[in-house]
Amino acid sequence: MLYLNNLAKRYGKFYAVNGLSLHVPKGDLFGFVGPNGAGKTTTIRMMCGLLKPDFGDIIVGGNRYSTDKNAVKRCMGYVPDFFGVYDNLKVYEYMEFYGSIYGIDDASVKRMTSDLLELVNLSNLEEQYVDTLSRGMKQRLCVARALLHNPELLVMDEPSSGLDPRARVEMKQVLLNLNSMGKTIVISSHILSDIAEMCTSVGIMNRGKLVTAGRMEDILSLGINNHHLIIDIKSDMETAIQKVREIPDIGIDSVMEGQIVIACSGEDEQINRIMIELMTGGVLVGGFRKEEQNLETLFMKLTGDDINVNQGMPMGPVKGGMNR
Amino acid sequence: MKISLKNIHVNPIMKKDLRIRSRSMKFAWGLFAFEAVLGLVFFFAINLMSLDRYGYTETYKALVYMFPVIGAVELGILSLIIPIETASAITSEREKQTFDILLTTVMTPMQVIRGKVNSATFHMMIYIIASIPLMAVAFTVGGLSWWALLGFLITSFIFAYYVGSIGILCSTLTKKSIGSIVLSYVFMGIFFGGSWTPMAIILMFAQSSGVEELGALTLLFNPAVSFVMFFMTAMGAGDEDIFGGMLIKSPLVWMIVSFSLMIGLSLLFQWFASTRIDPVRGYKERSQTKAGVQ
Ligand SMILES: Nc1ncnc2c1ncn2[C@@H]1O[C@H](COP(=O)(O)OP(=O)(O)OP(=O)(O)O)[C@@H](O)[C@H]1O
Ligand SMILES: [Mg+2]
Repeated sequence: MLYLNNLAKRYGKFYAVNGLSLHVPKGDLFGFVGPNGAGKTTTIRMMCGLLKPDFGDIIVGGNRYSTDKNAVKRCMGYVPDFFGVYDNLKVYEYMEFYGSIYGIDDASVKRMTSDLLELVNLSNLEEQYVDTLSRGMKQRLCVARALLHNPELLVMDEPSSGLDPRARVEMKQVLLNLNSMGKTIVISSHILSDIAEMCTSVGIMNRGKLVTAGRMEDILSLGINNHHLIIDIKSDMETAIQKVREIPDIGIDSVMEGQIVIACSGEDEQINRIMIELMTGGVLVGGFRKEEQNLETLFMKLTGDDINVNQGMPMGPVKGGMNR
Repeated sequence: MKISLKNIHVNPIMKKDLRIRSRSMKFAWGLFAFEAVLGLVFFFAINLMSLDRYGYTETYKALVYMFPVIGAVELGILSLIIPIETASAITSEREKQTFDILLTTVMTPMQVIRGKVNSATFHMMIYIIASIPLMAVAFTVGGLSWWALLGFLITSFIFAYYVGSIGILCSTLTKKSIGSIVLSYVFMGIFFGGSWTPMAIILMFAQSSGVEELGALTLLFNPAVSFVMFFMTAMGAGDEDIFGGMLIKSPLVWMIVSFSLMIGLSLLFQWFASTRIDPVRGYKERSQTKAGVQ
């Protein structure tokens, strides 16, 4: 459905997006995650024709952006992260306006509007002025607007920003409904739990590059030592750390006050061996707990370290601080 | 095919803009103020004319002069209003954050610009049409031909279209509304006032060198001059009354040439404006160079 081919956007010498290639198959609900300044918005804006890529191409539904802009625009609906509505315009007139841009006649728009408003839980609001709607309602209206020309692909930048928990759940429900109706959806978000819950595939971006992308379950089983074993230590920390270092095939993820976090594969035998090694080594263990890899821990791991630092890139614009 | 109003394709932006604008209180008050000023001018002029110098018949005849007087005042006011109305056309969509959505639809940048220019033009025509009752005195009582009224509407339309195109272009040249308003007043200053400079320079330094008349050519781009030409024709001035040094002696020919040039220039401004708002203009796929890959 959507192919991004070696996409790049440069601001001066700084690559906001650098050589990004991605394929989102038809029917997927794809989530873009990444720290602030990773380049998600930049990528999405290039996908929608709001920014000119410096390199690369975008192919949507078999149409190339560089050769057939209009065909791409026809099969894509876009909901920006920040957007406004017109004053002095009623909801149905708002829909009518965008409908007429796509050459849909007023009668059809009227029919579709009531269907779409129902889909986004805004039924019977046709007569209300758009600027009097709440933030969450505007957001859902904007989704309805983006669906008016029946695009195959819906692109949303941060659909849950600025929404209260209830509105967020509602938005999630709307997106899941749309996805079950066969729409391909691409969203970007910071709320990893939302993404993990609803997306079928995910891409993690950091500093302009796609660190990893794929189906959710494949992504979550990524890496060898992808489980965390958190052990409370009641005796001397130094000896405990020393003992853990002697055990093969595991690593120390982090050390906190009275606690060691060990990265391991998570099998019961391995955990037992670790505990035995520690106890026979004279370490007093207060308790322990196993944590499976989830999107959040993976996200921290993949975006926290500096493996993916681009050369010649100023550190300034990247709002880091994602390390534990 | 059945012809009905529904089958006529109207630029969606124009329809939307006119709808929004006609609902705003600003528009209602603007129209009120406009009519009030014209009304004042009207009564002031009537008073001047009916001072004892004239008999009744003379007064009726003199009412003919209401036409150019009101027409000139009207266009003066519009020249002040249009920049404010149009200069914010694009910037306000940007400020309201509705512009991005517009650009991701299938509307081409040129269609967006056309919609904006058209809505500005029609909006101005509402003002013009609202003033017709006042002007009608010059026609019904003063005995001016109705063709003159039609001519006035056409001339005003081209005027609004031209000045509107300038305003829309300015709207795409700056980020903030206030900047583009200032810029479009500068543009207007150049077209209204600056177009006299070549003539003035020639008169000052190269008098009777045989090129005086060339200096008048830039006046073809001056909408105010073509209006004067129009009023002269409408009021029945002869060809010999026209400004001495003009290259084209007939006001009618002048108007035709001038209007064609102004429409051409309007289209040029619109094209330029459309390139300014197109975010992906000239986008071709390029393979990434070595510098980009890491
Ligand atoms: N117009 C611009 N000029 C210069 N740099 C820019 C511009 N727009 C974006 N950038 C830079 O590009 C990088 C990517 O920004 P982008 O908005 O795509 O990040 P993001 O992933 O959407 O972040 P967030 O999660 O905060 O929305 C940032 O470092 C930003 O500073
Ligand atoms: Mg963003």
